[in-house]
Amino acid sequence: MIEVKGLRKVFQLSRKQMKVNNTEEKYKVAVDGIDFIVYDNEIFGLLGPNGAGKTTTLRCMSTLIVPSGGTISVNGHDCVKDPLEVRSQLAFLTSELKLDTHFTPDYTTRFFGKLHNMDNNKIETRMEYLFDYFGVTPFRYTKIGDLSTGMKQKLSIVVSLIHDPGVIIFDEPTNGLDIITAKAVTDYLLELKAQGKTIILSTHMMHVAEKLCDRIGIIMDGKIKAIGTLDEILYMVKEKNLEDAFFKLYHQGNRGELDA
Amino acid sequence: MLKSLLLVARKELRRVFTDKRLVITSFLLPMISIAIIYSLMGIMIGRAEEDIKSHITRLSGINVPLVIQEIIRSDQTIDLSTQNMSTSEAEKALLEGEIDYYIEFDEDFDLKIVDFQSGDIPIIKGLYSPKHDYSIQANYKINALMESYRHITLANRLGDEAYIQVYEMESGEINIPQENRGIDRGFASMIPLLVSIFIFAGAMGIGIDSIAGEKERGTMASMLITPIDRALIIGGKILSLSVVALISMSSSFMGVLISIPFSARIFSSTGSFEFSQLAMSSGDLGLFLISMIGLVGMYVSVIAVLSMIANSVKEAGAYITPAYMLVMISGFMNMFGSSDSSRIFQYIPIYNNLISMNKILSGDGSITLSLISLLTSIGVTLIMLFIARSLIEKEKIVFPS
Repeated sequence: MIEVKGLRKVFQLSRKQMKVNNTEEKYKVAVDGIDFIVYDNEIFGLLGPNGAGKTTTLRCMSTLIVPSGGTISVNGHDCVKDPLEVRSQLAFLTSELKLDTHFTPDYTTRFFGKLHNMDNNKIETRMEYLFDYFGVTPFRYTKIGDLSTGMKQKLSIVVSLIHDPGVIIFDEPTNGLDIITAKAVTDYLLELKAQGKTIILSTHMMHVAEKLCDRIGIIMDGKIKAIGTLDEILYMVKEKNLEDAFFKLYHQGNRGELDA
Repeated sequence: MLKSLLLVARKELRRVFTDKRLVITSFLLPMISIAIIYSLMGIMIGRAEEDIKSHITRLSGINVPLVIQEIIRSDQTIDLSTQNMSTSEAEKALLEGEIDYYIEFDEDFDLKIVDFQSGDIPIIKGLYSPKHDYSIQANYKINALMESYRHITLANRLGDEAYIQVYEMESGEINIPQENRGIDRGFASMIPLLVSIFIFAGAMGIGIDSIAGEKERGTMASMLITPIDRALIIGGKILSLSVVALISMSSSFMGVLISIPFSARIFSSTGSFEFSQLAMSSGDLGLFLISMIGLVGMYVSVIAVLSMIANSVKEAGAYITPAYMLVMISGFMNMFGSSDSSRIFQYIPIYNNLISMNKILSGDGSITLSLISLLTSIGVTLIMLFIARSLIEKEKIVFPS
């Protein structure tokens, strides 16, 4: 289970960043006191436009960055006080994390397995299973740099899951993938859910969120605008599908800004 | 902890040593190019020296007295021409390299020599071109010949050659004990510079790629989300980089050794060299290695810190270049300086390692100086490791965007 309480993240902007963002503010509030819980055996979708605070929230959860305020607990372990334990219990997949293109899938997966303190037998068993599931086996000794985009993404998923974590955080896992590979990834997410894992999925694809997520949180300007099951959100926003609900919230937010 | 450290270090070494292009460009090419460049330099310098030595000096002389003509013609390497030439014509001919030296005597030179008591000293005007090696060499030759003429003249005036021999100088070398002999002085001053530059250069390229490159490519962040202490990630990288720096330095130094049959005239103070001259006692070798390891620790950790601060490989290169220049300056200061080991210099990191290496190779190695250089090296390395450790925890450093 993941419990996010009053999460706040403020970045200090450099002069260059202030110039690029056309602002005189020295600080940018990326996440502004959000709360949500993700339960076991659940896929929680985090939706939001670019710059809404999704990636910052996910980075805080994965201990890559430290929150400015609030707390995040992963299976009872605090992300700030106990980061090593948190990292051992979660998988984080994002396009910003890359694998060294010089190595082969076989070596890379073993290396990350060892970083997760797994013994060779466990690595071997887990690797065979994941390689077969994602079709990596025929390419296990091919340099990562020579793999197709889809195969690289599948390998990234394999590497992130090698230690069989209980908590899985996937940021845009189907981005840039063809329909077949994307289907393999979404099917596996459902399988992980069936195994009782806690899953957070960040995506721009509304149909993916509608199909996969048990509950959805819509984040805009660093704040949660709506949270609940698909039906609850549609009822709350008074729309018939998630895309319309999302845009309604987005335009409400913009109007609010203009009114203010 | 050690297991994780070695795991990261092994991965980094694998990254380097399984990449054929990296092995060729980082280890083989420097060795081959150094061997070729130094050999060519030695050969070319040797040829140039030989050419100057064997060159027949073209001397243009005006009013050259017969006795001096005889002295000049007794030197087989000088071709004297007594064709009339004005000073301005001579200057032009010297500038264009048509002649190597111009000498003009007073018309009544012989008379003035004989009538020296009148106080009218004859003038000899000599011209050479500092632009041309042949002309510079000619200047030395003519001056030496005229000096011999001066001796003959003085002997004639005094009536006996013995009168001008004021003293006999007997100078000899003292007997230096075997343990203080050291290696050839030229090599002793050159080796610390080469070792220092080779270590830094070897660690620089791969260090930038291993840290700034991994940050830029996003492969370092992948390791940061594993349950391994981040200090071990940077520690593993620094450890592997130290190994790479040592191997790279050895490879480059091997290039120097390969070139020695041709390049000895550049490095050696005597112009000749035998490999046996590089032999050191085990104690000296130990002290030398201590100083060298000290340099490796400092250089690698400085490169790691600067690569951590940089947001890209390009930026890291810009940050590290000034450090490389400092390394070179300290090397040259040590090579051309007097290896000042006074109190202050003993405590300047890097420079004290170089002084220590120089003294060891010169046969004056000091355990105290080696220990001071080792302690200051450890101090600098630990400070750099501490900075690197704290940098890898900073999100602005790991995720600058």
